[in-house]
Parts: sequence; structure tokens; C-alpha cells
Amino acid sequence: MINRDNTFNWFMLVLRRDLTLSFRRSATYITPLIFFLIVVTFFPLALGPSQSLLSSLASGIIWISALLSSLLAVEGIFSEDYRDGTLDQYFVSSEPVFVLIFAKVLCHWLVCGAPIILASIISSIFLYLPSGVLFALVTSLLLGTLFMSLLGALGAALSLGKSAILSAIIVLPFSIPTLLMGTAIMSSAINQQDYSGFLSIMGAMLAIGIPGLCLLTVEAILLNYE
Amino acid sequence: MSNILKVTNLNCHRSGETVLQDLNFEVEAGKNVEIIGSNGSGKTTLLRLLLGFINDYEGEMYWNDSEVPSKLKEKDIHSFYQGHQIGIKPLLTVYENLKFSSSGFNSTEEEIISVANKVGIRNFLNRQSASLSAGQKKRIAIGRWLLKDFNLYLIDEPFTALDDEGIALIKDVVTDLNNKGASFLITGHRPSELISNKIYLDVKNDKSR
Repeated sequence: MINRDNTFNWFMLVLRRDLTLSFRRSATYITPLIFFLIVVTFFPLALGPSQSLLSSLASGIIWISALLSSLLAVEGIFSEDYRDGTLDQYFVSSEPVFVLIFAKVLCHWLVCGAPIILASIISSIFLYLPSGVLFALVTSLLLGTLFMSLLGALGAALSLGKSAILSAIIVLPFSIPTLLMGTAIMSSAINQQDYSGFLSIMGAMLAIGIPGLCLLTVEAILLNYE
Repeated sequence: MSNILKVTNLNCHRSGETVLQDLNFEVEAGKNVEIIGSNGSGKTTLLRLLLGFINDYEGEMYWNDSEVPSKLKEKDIHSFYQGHQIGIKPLLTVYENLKFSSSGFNSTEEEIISVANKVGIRNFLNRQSASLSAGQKKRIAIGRWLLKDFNLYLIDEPFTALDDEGIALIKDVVTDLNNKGASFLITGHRPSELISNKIYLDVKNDKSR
């Protein structure tokens, strides 16, 4: 029997704890942000400052950089808790474990995904992205980066105790649908077409992904315990 | 007295080696069992197996006087596990380490302060745990036992890194919790005076050789 008050307290506790730890260890949220800004800045340097070229590539550049940067800190979602025994204690407690996983995913998104979305607004200026599509950029990244955090958590759970880069390699092929949807939203927005259909598909992916990927992540962590 | 756990003919093989052989024991509610063995004798494996982390074993576990073997998770038993790694975050304060734990998240500030008083860390509550000694960190871990009512505590080697005062503290806490009906399964290298009911894993394994 799940006590709803308890479960909500439990969710808030894990979220607060992870946010506190992230902010005391500032590298966790600054690294992905700086990585994103550096990668995005490299494109105008490498391709030249041609406005027509950059604006046609802008949405792809921002999306790929966002995907790569959001995977940067993914390994840290579980690794420390796994090593120091916290995860054991959480798994033994009678509180639902997938709530714990979702809280950790949400924390990862808040400290990695959300700053990247803000930085994408800044980078859209020097990539000459038309300002009319900013709304499409932000909403698509909002859904896309949250989905990436969910996928990343699964990758991190599967690669617990192994090399950090492994989780990124596991996750990247599965991020293709997100990338396709995200860039489709952007090109529709740039061509002034209706993109609500693509947004709905991304929303649906997220709606299935939150329970589905969280439950898979629980199983993946238990595999490491065997 | 009712049994919280009864284990019969438990065998476990890991990577082709026999880790646990033909184990039989009972844990009564409000009583304790100490599992004694040298390094690698399967103490931790036994605890993790009871918790359901390891599913590859032969034999039966009966929880809460049940006639039917089952897993811990299927039963309404509130259990607390403390492994070798006790899960104290150096970046959190002592208070946060108690509050943000699996047992403390529903506790009020007063409850946490009174527990901290009891385990002797009241004066460090706002200090970052990184600056504490190993023994003081163990005391935070003991504080976590008290923040919620559990039926069964599975504690892996609680006596390491503790001074005499700390060991006395564990005795006090365990006796208190026993009186409330909780049971302890504790592992160790050497028999302690605290618990009379003991299982020797080395002896079991020697027989098999």
C-alpha cells in the first residue's frame, strides 16, 4: 500500500538532497553548460560567419550540442550513491524506488538540461536563428532534454561501476528519435508550418518514457546487484 | 515468540564457488542473530541474499511465521540495511545526512535533534560531514536506525571504527530497539558479547572441504 503523503515527501527529499549536493559541487552543472557553449561557438569559427549558412544549420547545431552536453554528467546520477551505499539503503526502504529514480532524473534535468535551454537562446543569436522560432526551440528542447535525462539515467544504471563514457555510448543511438523530432519541429517552425503534431509526438514519448524508462532503470540497477 | 525469519537449507554459489552451504537459522522477533566469519566467508552475500538483491540461491526463506517461502519485499516487514559503505555524504551536514536518509525523510527537526543527542552528535549537527572522523560518521549511521520504526535491521560489520563508547552505544540502541520488538542481524569477524545467538559461517564452510 503506497501512502501518497509519504511518497511525495520521499520524492521531494531525494530531489532536495540531489539539488543540494549538485549546488555544493558546482562542476556538475557548470561543465555541461560550458561544454554546450564551447561546441556551439566552434561552428561559426569553423564554418565562417556566413549568415545564410549558419542560420540554415543553426537548429541542427543547437540540437546536437544540447544532446551531447546533456549526456556529459549522466554518469553521476547514480555512481556516487551506488559506491557509498546510499542506493542500497534507498532500495531496501519500503518507499517506491521508481519515484526515487524520477526525482534523480528531474534533478539532473534541472541542473544540466535547464541551463542548456537558457544557453541555447543566447547561442541562437550568434547562429542567426530567426527570432520567430525561439518558442519552438525552447519548447522542443524542454521536452527533448528531459527525455535525454531519462534515457541517460537508464544508460548510467546499465553502466554502473564501469567507464563513464559507456553510458553515453549506450544512450546516443536511442536519442535518434528525439533528435529527429526536435529538428523536424525546428525546420517546420522556420518554414512557418504547423509543428504541433511533432510536439505532440515528443510529449507522448515523454509520457511513456517517464514511467517506462524509470521502471527499466530500476531493473537495470538491480542487475548490478546480482 | 514469533519468528521474523526462518531460513532452511540455504545454499549459494557465486561464479562456480560455494559461498553459503546448508545454512539453517531462525530470527525471533525482538531477538538478534550475529553472523560471524572471516573475510570472504559470505557474510555480506547472506545479507544481500536475504534482502532480495541476490536471487541465485537454493533453499527457503520464511518471513513473519509464514508457512510459504517468500521474498522480503513481498512481506510487510520494514527493514533497514547498512552495508560496508554506510552512505554518509561528505558534502552534506550531519543534520542533512540524517534528514535525507531513507529513514529520516518523515522526521521532524525535533526528532532528528533528539536522535542526534542520543548518539552523541548533537554538537556537530550543522557541520559538514567531510570533517568528521570515521567513528563519528558511524554514529550518524546509528542515528538513522532510530529515525523510523523498523522490524528488522541487517547491519554489516557495525563495530569497525568504533571506540569502546561507540560499542556501548550500539549495545544500548540495540537493546532499546529489541524492547520495541525489532530484530537485528549483525555480521562481524569476532564474536561480540552483545548477541548470544551466533552463526559461524567459517565452520559451515570448513565442513564442506
